[in-house]
Amino acid sequence: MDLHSYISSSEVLRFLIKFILFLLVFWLISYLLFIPINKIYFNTCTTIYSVLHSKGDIYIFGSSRASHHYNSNILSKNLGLSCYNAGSDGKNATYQLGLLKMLLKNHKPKVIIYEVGDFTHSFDNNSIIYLYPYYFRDPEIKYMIKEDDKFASLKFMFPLYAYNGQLLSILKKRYLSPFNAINGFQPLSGTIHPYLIEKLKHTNLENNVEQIDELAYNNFCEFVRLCKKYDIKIIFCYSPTFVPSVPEEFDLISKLAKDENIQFLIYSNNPIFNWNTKYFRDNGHLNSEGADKYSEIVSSDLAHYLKDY
Amino acid sequence: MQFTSLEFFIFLAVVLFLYYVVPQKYRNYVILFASYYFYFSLKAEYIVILIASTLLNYILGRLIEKDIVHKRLYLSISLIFNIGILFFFKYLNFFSGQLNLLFSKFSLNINLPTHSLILPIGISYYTLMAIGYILDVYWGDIPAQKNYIIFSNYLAFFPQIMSGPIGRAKSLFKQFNEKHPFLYVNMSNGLRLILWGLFKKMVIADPIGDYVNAVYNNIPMHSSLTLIFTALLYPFQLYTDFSGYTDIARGVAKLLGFNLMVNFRAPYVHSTSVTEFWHRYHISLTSWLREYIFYPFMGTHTEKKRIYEGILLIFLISGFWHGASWMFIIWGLFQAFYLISEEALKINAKKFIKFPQKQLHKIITYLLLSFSFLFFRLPNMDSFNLFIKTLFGKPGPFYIGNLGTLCTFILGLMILISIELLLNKKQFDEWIGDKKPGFRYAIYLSISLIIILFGSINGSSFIYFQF
Repeated sequence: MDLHSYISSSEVLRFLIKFILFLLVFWLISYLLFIPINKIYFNTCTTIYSVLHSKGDIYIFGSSRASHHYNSNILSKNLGLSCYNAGSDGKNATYQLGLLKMLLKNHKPKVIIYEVGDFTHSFDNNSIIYLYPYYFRDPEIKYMIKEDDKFASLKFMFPLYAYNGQLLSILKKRYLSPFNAINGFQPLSGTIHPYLIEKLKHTNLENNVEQIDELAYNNFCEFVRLCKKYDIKIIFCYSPTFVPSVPEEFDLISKLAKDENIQFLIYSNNPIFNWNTKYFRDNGHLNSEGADKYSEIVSSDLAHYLKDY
Repeated sequence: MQFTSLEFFIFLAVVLFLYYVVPQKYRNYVILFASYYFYFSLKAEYIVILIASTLLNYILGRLIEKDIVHKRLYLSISLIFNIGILFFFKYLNFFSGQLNLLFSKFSLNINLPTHSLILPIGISYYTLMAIGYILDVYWGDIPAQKNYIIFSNYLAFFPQIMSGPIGRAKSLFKQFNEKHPFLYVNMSNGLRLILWGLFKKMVIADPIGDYVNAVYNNIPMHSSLTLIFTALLYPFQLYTDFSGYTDIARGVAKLLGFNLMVNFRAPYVHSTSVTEFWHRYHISLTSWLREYIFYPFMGTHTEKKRIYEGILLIFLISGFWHGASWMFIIWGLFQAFYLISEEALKINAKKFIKFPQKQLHKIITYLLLSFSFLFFRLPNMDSFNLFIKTLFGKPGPFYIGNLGTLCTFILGLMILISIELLLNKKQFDEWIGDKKPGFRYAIYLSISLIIILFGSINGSSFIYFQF
């Protein structure tokens, strides 16, 4: 059968020319938009920007439980070391590793406190997108993004993809409310809603184990290795929860802590905090008062391990 | 392999290349191989059920045609099989649970077993298509399909297997028998639909989903105003999610030269009654229920009472088809109540031409539907009662959540509503196809830029996959 009887070359050619032309125009426009957005991003005080421009002795890493629970000023005062809270809402271990790699290019901390417990949550799968703007700047970040997404090279052919889902928050930080935290610490206001307390009374938290993201776990291990390599003391902490609990990845973390000789401090069963409504905003998050109380307690415990620093 | 993933589009490019390169007589094989590969990649083990369903319905269809004496028996076997597998996977746990509750109330020590099997993807859709085919053959409307490959493609066609549109055998068999040359017009129409579908899903449905989930997961923590806003928003989430999927499915089929059924005609911006809404929303299911349930039920009867019973029957089935839960049944009952009321009051027979009257009816229709869709979204009556209790008892601040998400879906909704006001009975690809090239390309570029900048590229799966 003749190929041309069912494929008209002129139709194919017409389609291909128009399609490629469209892609070229789209690429050009997206590139022209990428340039100013990129410029705005790297001149805006975002969470990452603030961390990379800080010079602390102690850094707190982790997700929201890190950023809202560790009052950097209290830790600094009690430990006699400058402290910066690099925690950020909803970010998993992949993001933390990327952030550490970038930080180490300018500054080497003495101590890192890693708030563990939710670093491989499935809801954090998108936290790597916050590293996207560094795809074209940092080869290590580029490698990490490619490891996370096998189609990254294709997607980043359109540079604007680096800002997918982030433009509005960048503009907000640039023009409305710049990142303004006390050495990275972002206290929460308010107390736990009575409805949540009732809900928690009837929830079996042991059944809520989510599937562990292997890539995030591997990146967590890589984070620990990197600290060892740079001779940074790392301590795992699990801060208080409203309902007594253990970190979801408790066995994995405990084993890693044991293998690597890392202190692992757990505060989630502390009676000062458990079921104490005045210290919590929700089950997983302390409010400002709770964070200050916890920072006092944890800093006095840390002082024991950091007396040589 | 999600319709919104790059992986799917790479798969599609390979399928298109193979499809147009191989000789016409082998193209149905390419589609079948691609469809089975696609289904296999979603959930490998359930392909056995799809193949078994295909084989059995193919044989029974042919037997119904050949052996007229026993055709009723073959029809019964087919219906028992099709409804049986759907019952087993979708409804068995529900019925067992309800009966166990009943037994425990009468202190009977009986505990019916339940299973933990996941519902096979697309089973609710391809089962209806199989039943539709068998009934068509039984009624003599179409001859039984002799070509096994075409019949397999009819049930497994990858653009529509996950969530429809629920196609008709007559139209699809004809298309699988036709030659599909590579046509520029098909490619451009297909890509337009895909682009529009991606926009609906990524820029509107997924961001609305984030907001709605945040509110409905903790109802008592939100104010009345937030709850009202969320209740009004949810129908748009469901619509843009499902119609976004359908646009992509129709677009993909169009690239292969196929025309799948139109499933939506801008239902929320044009419907002046709930009856009209159901002529514009999930058309393939509504028309399936009308053709295969309502008309046979009506027979030669024309009396009002019978019509009302028929409406009640099809919406009870529609509700139950969506899921084994009392909430879906209540949702179906609400639709039936609305339609019967409109029929009794002859609201649908009136044509609202004047501007204020027409807009008022659109708003009333939307409010009625939004209320009924609470039963579609909320998991149980306790949640519904909590919603109502909070709605009437709690002033407070309006929940904004993530400002970026809020702004994204508001922008998306404004674009959607503006375009749908212009569409009326046309589809997006037809409407844009009539415009001048400059305007057309400006729209394509704008939509593409909005998707890349604001769209949820790694968003959630489509809502209707669960049905």
